[in-house]
Amino acid sequence: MTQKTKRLYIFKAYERFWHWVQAVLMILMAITGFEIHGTYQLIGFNLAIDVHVYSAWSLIVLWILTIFWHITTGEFRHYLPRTEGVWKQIVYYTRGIFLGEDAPFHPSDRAKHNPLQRLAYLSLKVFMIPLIWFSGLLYLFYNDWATLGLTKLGLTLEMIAIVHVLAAFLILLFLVAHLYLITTGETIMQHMKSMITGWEDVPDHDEKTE
Amino acid sequence: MKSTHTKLLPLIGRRFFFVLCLLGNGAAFAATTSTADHSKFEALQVPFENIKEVNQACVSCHNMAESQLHKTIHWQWDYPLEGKDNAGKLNVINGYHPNVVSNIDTCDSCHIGFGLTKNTIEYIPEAAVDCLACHDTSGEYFYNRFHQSGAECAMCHDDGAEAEKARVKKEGERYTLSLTEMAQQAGETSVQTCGSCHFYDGGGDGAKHGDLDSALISATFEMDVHMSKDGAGLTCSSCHQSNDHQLFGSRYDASLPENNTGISALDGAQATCESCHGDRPMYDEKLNDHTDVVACQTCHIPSYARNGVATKTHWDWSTAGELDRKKRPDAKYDDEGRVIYSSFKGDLQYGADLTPVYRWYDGALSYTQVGAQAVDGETELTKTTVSAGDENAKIAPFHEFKSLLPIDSESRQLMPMYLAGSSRDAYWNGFDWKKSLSRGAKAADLDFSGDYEFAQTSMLWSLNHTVAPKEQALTCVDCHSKGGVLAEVTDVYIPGRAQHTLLDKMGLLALIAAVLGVLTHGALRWVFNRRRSRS
Repeated sequence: MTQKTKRLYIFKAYERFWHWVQAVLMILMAITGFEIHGTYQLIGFNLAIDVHVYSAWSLIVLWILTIFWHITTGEFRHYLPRTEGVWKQIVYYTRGIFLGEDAPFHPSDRAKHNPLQRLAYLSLKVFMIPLIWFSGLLYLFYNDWATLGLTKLGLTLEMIAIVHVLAAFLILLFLVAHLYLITTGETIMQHMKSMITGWEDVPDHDEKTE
Repeated sequence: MKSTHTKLLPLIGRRFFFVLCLLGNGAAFAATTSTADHSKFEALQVPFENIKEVNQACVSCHNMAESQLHKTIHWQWDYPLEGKDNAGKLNVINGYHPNVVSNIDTCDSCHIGFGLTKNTIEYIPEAAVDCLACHDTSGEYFYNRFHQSGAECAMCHDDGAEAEKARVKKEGERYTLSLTEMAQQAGETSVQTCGSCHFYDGGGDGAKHGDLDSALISATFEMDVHMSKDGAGLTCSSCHQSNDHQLFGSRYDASLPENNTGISALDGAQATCESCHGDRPMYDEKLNDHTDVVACQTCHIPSYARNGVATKTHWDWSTAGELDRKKRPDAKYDDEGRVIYSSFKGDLQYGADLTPVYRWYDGALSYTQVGAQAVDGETELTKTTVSAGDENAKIAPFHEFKSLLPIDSESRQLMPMYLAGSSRDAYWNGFDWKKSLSRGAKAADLDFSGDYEFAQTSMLWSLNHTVAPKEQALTCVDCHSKGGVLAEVTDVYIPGRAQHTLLDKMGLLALIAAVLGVLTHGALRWVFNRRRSRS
């Protein structure tokens, strides 16, 4: 790749902080969650519960801060869905990437994620995470269902458990795809580096072609 | 699931209240000096010939005691339950010595008075009471009482007291106080006085309940945190308090979960855990969240019959009656000295340090009356009456006891046995079931076809005593794991125990597919990349 590149500061300090803390907490919650679920024994049920619950509350606090950050900085715009370029990105992942073609999308100030990424992250943020939160909070406050009038609706702990576990599987699937797709930059470590330092090398196009 | 109104009382306040109660108890302990010294009473300075004379002397001062006692279950053996048949040992059948009605002479030795007559079937008429049965402080009276009134040996000694007779021959009588000396020491009830009946019922020490045996008299903290002197130092009557001789906390009407709140000591104890501890007594709020569906006893009595005294687990009456070569009743013992076969009783099995069985329970069991029909398979003589989600239903621990009892082959009715008495018809004299059962049927006003067989029965005994130190309580994984102790309680979702198998399978498959997918994609990228760089 002899293309001329320029360095772009894509991921702000808060964004990186949020990303990594969230990553650690979510992985902790997955490990402890499946232990509570009875899939395996690792750190012990009691400790697993404590870690799971404390991680959950930490994550909730983090998310409230992050939602605030997204709104006040306007960063939420990076997650608004676009159809334009989605198909190109799919074709790239299924064909172009093998043939060594140039990626159809490069991050810029206006759009730091490719169109497929936008959709994936959006579904994580507005579907999977709310699903696991909603079911998780109901799970946590199981004893207050009567006060909240939820038992009358025929809600059972088993239903909530199923939804919670389903959401966990969806997020794990997301994680597998995410961990792989971050290796598809110019170099394997390029995206990883940018999430650590905030800086990413992007092709230096002339302003005319932009 | 119900809203916990106990939150009204802040936790700190509740703990304080609990400590106050304990202190109150301790104070009561320290100051047991009565305002009356029985040894100085004139009425007690006479040489008593028999128990009845002692009791006449008692009631000459305690002139309300008799009429109070006559109204209690300890006298009546009859317990009316709203909308159900009466409970109480006069009416229900159990799997040990199954019934009272045809064994009046024998049961008289445990009854706290002299009201039992040959015709007792409906009720026990008022008569002289036996004060010292409960108010003896010497610890000797009950031997006197049971032996003096000619109790049938096999009632309390499974081997017909053969072992005891041998001991007496060798070591002599142990209990030598006169009735007068005992009467002059009359005082408050104690673990020992209550235990003289309730520890030894079912044919031996600890035989029946599983959580009540003689070890409680000098319990260590490990045996029972409440009754140990190193623990709360409580006695039976600390919880089973009484008004006018009427005691709270009969198992016939155990209001286990209904009184979920701590109640003022001024209102009298209710003999439930919650009446002192409330329903959120633990430091871990998540644990407290369990108390609406898990009884305290479930976690805090993790095993029972664990204090060195075994309890009976199985009794096969059908094998009774085998005599030795000299046609005398025989007994066989196991290595621990327990009677495993008795001609009087059949085959007996024991268990120690047992894991309870668990059932949904709201404090009410249904009982089986004498003459009730046996079902095919196992007849449950006591049954819990609620299931998951019912009002006040909690998972509670039980001692399960099984036995084979005689039934009429035609009517399938559980037949009352005539066990002991002067007649040859009594089973323990003649070893003839046909005669024993026909006399039993007659006493209970039942028909007996003359043909009998034995039916499998089971009983549940609610476990409430021998609460273990908290370090020994069940932990999360005892229930929240596959194959946990609540295996029999199937109608509830327990995280960690039950999983939605299909969801788990699909989820795992999807994950494997995703991992394989990305690995393949990555491998292809690598292959194509190499090919390009070579060309």
